[in-house]
Amino acid sequence: MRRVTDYAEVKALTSMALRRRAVTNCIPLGDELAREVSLGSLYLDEWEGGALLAKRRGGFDVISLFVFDPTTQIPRLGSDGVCEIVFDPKGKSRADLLEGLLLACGFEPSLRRMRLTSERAADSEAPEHILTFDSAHLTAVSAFLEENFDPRLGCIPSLRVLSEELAAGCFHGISDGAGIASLIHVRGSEINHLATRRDCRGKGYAKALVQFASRNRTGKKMQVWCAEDNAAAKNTYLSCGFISDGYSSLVLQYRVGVTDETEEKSTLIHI
Amino acid sequence: MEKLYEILENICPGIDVRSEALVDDGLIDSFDIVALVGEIMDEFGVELNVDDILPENFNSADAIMSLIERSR
Repeated sequence: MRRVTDYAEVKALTSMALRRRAVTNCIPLGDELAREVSLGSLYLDEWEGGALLAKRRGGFDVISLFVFDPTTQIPRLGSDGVCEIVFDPKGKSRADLLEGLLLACGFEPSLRRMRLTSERAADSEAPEHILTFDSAHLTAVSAFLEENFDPRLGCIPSLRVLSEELAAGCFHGISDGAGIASLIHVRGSEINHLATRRDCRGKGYAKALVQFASRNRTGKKMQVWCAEDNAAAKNTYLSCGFISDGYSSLVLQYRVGVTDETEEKSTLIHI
Repeated sequence: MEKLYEILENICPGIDVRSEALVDDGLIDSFDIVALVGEIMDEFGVELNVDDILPENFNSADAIMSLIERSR
């Protein structure tokens, strides 16, 4: 795998992938890839039947796959990696194909998620004690995210992105004497993070935050990716009018030299 | 334009190809767009890449046609 130093190379790769009808796990956005190149964190690996782009994070890679020939095998990674396959029912065969290729090169399933959407505005007034966090809360919000989400599965933003999104008013929450009790992170029309501190669960904080976000949304509908095995989160969203829209995702992880299957699996959203 | 309608109908059978909100209304998604782009590149002889995969470029047949024209 080698570092990509010229964004033109990414454009050429994706153009070729599109022309060859490559099977892919998700569609990376051009501006996001350009930023990764400028930061020196985008890597490329190519083999006879495809290519992969790896966004390098602290200790692991986030993988985008482009498979031209599914009869060839994806090369094993030299570092830990995470790959998420997003699909709707009509894309199940594509997802199965990619899952098979990833399993064959050592990836293991870690998490299944379902997409929930809502077009309904919350019908109750939001509690007055909901705060909008700003740049002054950078340290506290960063620590809260790290305590409540697995960095590999929970899509924790970098400090730079976190700082930008705090300034943009994307984080809201409820605080008490011990710090942040519950937090919601909304980017555009998507809820990215929702968590409640362990000793504050069962008080309705998460539901209040979802209702707050729903009342203040700017688009026609909101969406969230929810871990299928997180009953508390799922029930919260369902009670706020969210329903499944049929999209699912499977997150697979590759760990160099790790074979301990008893390791506790993390969930994306904790309430 | 008829060629484009035909491609849309082949990739997303049953949708209203004259919709002005193909993406906004969920009639096509990003994976449909990937399939669509491959067909467009072959049929119209243009080069497209990841920079072109933006919802606003695929929200209607007119928007897709504009993208094709810009790429020529």
